[in-house]
Amino acid sequence: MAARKIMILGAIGVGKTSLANRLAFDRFETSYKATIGVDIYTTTAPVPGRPAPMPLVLWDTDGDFGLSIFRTVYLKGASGALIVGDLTRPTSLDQMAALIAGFREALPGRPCAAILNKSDLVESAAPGLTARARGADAVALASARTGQGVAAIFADLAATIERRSL
Amino acid sequence: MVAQSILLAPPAGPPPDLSSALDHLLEAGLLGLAVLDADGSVRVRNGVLSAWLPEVGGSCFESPILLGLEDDLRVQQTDAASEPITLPGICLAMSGASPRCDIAISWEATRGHHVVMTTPDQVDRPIDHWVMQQRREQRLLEEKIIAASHELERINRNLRDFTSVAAHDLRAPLRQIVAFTGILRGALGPAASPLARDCIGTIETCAGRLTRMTTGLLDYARLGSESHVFEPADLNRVVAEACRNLDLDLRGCAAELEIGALPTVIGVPILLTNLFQNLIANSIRYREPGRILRLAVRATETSPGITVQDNGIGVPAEFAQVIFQTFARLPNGRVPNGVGLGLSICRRIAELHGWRIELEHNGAPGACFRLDLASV
Repeated sequence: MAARKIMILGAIGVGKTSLANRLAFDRFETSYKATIGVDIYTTTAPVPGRPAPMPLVLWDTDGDFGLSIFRTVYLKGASGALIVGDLTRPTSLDQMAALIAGFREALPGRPCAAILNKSDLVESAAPGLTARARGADAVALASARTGQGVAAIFADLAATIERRSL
Repeated sequence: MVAQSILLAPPAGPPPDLSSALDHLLEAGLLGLAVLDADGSVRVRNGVLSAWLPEVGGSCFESPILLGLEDDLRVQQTDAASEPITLPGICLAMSGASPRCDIAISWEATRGHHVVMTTPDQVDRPIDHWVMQQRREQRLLEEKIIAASHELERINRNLRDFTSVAAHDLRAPLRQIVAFTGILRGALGPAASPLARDCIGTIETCAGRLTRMTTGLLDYARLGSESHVFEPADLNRVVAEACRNLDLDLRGCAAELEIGALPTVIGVPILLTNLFQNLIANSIRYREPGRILRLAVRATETSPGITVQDNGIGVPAEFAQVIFQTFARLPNGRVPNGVGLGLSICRRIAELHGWRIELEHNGAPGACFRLDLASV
C-alpha cells in the first residue's frame, strides 16, 4: 500500500511534535523544543477491512508558519491533516479554527481531524469547546502526554483517507 | 583604486579546477547532488547530504520527503518557465543523525533530467537554532502568562460578583430574622421564660454578627468592582473624619488620641477614611481591658508613611501576615465583635492606592500598623 502524507498543523507550542512522537514512537518527551522548519516521521495506522496497516508520512510543521503554510510547497500531495489546538490556551484554538478553514480551502475533499490537546491538564473541557473545530471531519480531546485519544482519532483519519481513496 | 588593480591583474597560475572544488564540498558534507530521470528514478547521487534519496535505480518518491510531489516534478518538465522546487528546513526525524537540509530541485531541459541539490539548513547551526528556539519559547511563555492573567482576572471578577451578590442577597432574609425576633421578643414580653429570653438573645447576637459580616463583605467586594476618583486628600482631615465616625466608641473607652501632622496624598478620601476608621476600630476592639487606650497616628520620618500605634493587646509576630486575610481573627477568644474583614479591607484599600500596609514590630506594647506610601 502506498504511503500517505499527513500534515500536522497548529499554533506554536500546542504539542504537534509531541503528538508526532506519540504516533511514531509511542513516547512523550517532557522537554519542549520549538520545531524549526519541518520534521518528517513515518508510521502506520490500522485501517478497517485491510490486513496491512496504512503507511503514513507525518509532516510536523513549524508552528510559526501560521496560515502562510498554505502558500508553501510543504502542503503538496497531502492526503489529510491533523490540526492541533491547546486546551489551555484559548488563542491557539482560534488559530486551529483558522487552519481548519485554510486547509479545507487549500485541499478540498481532504480530511482533517482536529485534536484539542493537553486534555490531561484541564479538569473538564468547557462546554462548546469542540464547536471551535467546526469544519473538521473529526474532533477529539486528546493528550500526547498520556496518549489518551491520540491513536483513535489518527486511525479515524486514516480510515477516512482510505474510504475516499486519497 | 586598489581593488580595481587587483581585478585587472592577470590570474597567477592555471585557473582553479571547479570539479575538484565540487568534490571537496561533497566530501565535506556541505553539499549533496543527485540526478533524477524524468520518471523520478535516481540516476546518480553523491555526498552524504543526498542519503535521504533511495539508492540509484530507486524512485525518488520512495523518500518521505518527495512523497506527494510527483505532480510538481511533472509540471517542471513541461513548463520551461517553472522555478526550482525548494524545500527549506527539512529534517527526517526518524533517522536521528540526519541533518536539517534545504533541498532544491530543478529541471534541466537540455539533458532531460532533474538536478537535486541538498545543502545544510541555514539555521541548523547550533547557536542559530538555540537562539530561535529561545525566542519562540519566550513568546510562548508570554502568551501563556497573558492567558493565565486573563483567566485570573475572570475568576477574580466572578468571585467579586459572587461575594457581592451573596452578601446582598443574604441581607434580605437576615433583616427578616432580626425583625421577627424583635416581634417575638415583644409578643412574649416579660412572660418569656429564661430559656426563651436566652434563645432570643442568642439569635439577635448571631444575626447582628451576620449583618456585620455581610456588610463587610459587600464593602470588600465593592472595593474591587467600583471605579474610584483619585484626588488630593489631606490625611489630617481624613483621620479626623474617621475619629468622628467612631466618636462614641472612642469616648466609651476614654481613648487618648495623638494625631501628628499628616501629609496630603493622592487618593480616594472616602476609602482612606474607611482605612483609618478600620485601623482605629481595630485598636478599640483589641484594647487591653483595664487600661486606657492610647492611640497615636503619626507620619514616619525616614520614608513616606503613616503609623497607627496603640497600647492594646498587640498581635503575635506569627500572625503578622494572617491578620490581613479575609475573615482572619486572632485566636484569643476575647473579642466577640470582630468579623475578620477590617484589616483585609485596609489592605485592599492600600493596594488600590499602590501602597503597602504591614504590622510593624517596634518593641512597644500594643500593635503598630505601618502604611507605606511609597508606590509598590
